[in-house]
Amino acid sequence: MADDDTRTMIRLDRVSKSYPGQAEPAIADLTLEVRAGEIVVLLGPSGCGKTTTMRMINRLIEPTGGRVYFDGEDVTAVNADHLRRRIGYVIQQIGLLPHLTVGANIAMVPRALGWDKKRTTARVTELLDLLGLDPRTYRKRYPKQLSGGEQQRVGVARALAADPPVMLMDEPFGALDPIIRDRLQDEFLALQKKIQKTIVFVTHDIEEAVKLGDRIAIFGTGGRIAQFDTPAKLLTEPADDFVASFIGSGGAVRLLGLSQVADLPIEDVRTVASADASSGPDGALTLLVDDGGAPVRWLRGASGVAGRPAVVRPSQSLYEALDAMLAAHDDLAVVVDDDGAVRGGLRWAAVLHGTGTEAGSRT
Amino acid sequence: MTAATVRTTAPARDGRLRGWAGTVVTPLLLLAVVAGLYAYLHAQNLDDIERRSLDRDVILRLLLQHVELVAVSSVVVIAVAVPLGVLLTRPGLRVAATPILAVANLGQAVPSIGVLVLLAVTVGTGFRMATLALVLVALLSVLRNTMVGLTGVDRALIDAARGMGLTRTTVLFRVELPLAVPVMLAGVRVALILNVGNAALATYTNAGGLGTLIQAGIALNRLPVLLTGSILTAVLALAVDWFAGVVERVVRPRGL
Repeated sequence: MADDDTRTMIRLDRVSKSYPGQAEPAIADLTLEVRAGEIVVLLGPSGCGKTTTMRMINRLIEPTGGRVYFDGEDVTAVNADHLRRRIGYVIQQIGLLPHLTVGANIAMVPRALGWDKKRTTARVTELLDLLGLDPRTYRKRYPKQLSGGEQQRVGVARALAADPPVMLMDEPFGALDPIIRDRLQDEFLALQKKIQKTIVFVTHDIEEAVKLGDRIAIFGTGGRIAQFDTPAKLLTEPADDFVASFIGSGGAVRLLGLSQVADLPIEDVRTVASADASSGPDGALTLLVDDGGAPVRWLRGASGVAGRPAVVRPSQSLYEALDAMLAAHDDLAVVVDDDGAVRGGLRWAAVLHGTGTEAGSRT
Repeated sequence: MTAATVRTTAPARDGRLRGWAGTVVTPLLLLAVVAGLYAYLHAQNLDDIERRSLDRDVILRLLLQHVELVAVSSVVVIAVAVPLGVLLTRPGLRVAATPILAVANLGQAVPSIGVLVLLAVTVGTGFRMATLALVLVALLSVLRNTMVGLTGVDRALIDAARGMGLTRTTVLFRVELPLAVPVMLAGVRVALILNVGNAALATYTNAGGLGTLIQAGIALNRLPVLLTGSILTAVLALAVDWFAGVVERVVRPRGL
C-alpha cells in the first residue's frame, strides 16, 4: 500500500509547447509528477496553460519538447488513439453524442476496444448504478432528455467505461449551477474513495481546487507552475506574490473547510435525561438529552444560559462547525455521532488553535 | 395506448403525428391535381396533333425519361459532392475549400440553360450530356451543405470523441456524418428539385423528358399540350420533394 502511494502514475518531464508564429512558448519546460490514486488540480487564470498541460497528457495537443511518462512508460511517441483509451476524459461541455442513447454513449470506448456485447452491457449497467442513475430508466434515454447534472454524470460514467487508471477532467462541473455543482463535487469525492483513480483536474475556481485536490498546481504566467503543494500549504504558505494574490483574501477561512471536527479534541459534556435532575455539581455544563441520547437543549450552557445547542458531526468541516456556533450564538458546539447521540463538546477556542496545524492530515 | 395517453406523453410525439399527417395530405393533393388534369383533357375536343402528343404511351415514356434524368444526375451529385465535402473539411485540405467552393458557386450562378447549351455545343447532345449539365448545376447545394453540416458539428463533441481514443475515421462515421445528416439532406432535397426543373430543359439538347411536351405546346401553339407538360413537371417536383421529406424523416438520427 505504501508502495502504491509513492508510485508515479503520470510524469511530465520538461515538457514544452510552442506554437508557430508566437515568440513566447505556451508551456515552457514544465515538470509535473502525479502519484497513483491522488487528485492533482491544475489551477490558474484562463490562458495560463493549465488546459494545454492536461491535453498534452493524452496528447490531444502534441508537446513540442520534453517527454510524457504514463505509469513509467514513455508515451511521447506511442499511438495516441491507443493511449487515450487508457485515459478517461471528461470536459466541461460534456460532449455526449446527441444521436446516441446514454447506454451507447457510455459504451463507446468498450466498443473501440472490441469488447463483446455482453461484457459491454454489464459494464454500462454497473457504471450507471455507480453514478446513481437507474439503468432501467436511463440506458435508453437520449442526452437531451437529461438535466445538466445527469448529463455530466453520464460523462463521468463514459470516461470510466474501460476502467482507465487515469482520468483527465477539464472543468467538468464548471457549467453547472452552484447547488448541483456542490452536490456533484461531494459525489465525486465519494466516488473517488471507491475507485481510487489517478485524476488530473483543471479548474479556475480556487474553492473547487481546495475542496477536491490532494495537491494543487497553481499556474503562473508563461506556462510555468508557480507552486505545487497541498491545499493547506498553499493557503498558509503561498510561494510568491502571484500565488498569494490568486488565492486572494479569505485563505484562512478556506482552511476551515479542510479540517474536520474529528481532527480536534473534544471535551466531556454532562448529559441528563430529564430537566428535573438539572442542578449539577459546581455549575458544570449540563445538556438535556432525549431517550436516544440526542441533544435537546442546554440546561446550563457555556454562555451560562439555557438554549438550543449548536450540533455538529465529526465528519463535518470546521467551517460548518463555526457556522453552527455562530448561528446558535454559542462558543461550544455539541458533537454527536452518526446516530445523533452526544459524544462531547467542541470549543470555539479549539477551532481557532486547531486550524492550519492539522489541516494537512486529512483523509 | 389510448389517444389520451398519446397526448400526455410528449409534445415531440404530437409534432411527429402532425408531420406524418402532412406526408399523407401531399400525395392526395397531387393525385387530385393529376385527376383534374385528366378530366380537363377529356372535356377538350383534342385535334390530331394534340392527340398524338398526349398519347398515354408518349406521356409515360417522357415521364420515365424525366425521372431517369433526375435519378441518375442526383445519384451522381451525391456520389461526387458528399465525398468531396468530406475531403474538403479534413484538416489538411481545408485550404482548398474556398477556391473549390468558388468554382462550384460559379456553376450555380450560370443559368442552367446556359450550361446545357454550352455543353451541347462543346461536348455534344443526348442523355449523358444532359445528365452532366444537371450534375454541374446541382452539385453546389449538396457540396456546400455537406461542408456546412460537417463544420457545424460541435467541436466539443469531436474533442470528447477524440479524447476517448476514437480514430479520425471512427469520429467521421460515428460522430460527424450522423450529426451532419439533417443539413446534408436539406442540400440533397434542393438538388433534387433543381434537377426536376432543369431536366425540363433537357429537351432542347435532345434528351427527352417532360420538357418535350412544353416545347411542343409552345411551338405548335397547343395549350392542352403545354399545360400537361408543365403541370406534370410541377407535380413530379412536388412528389420528389415529398419523397425526400419522407426519407429525411426516416434517416434523421433519433435524439437530435
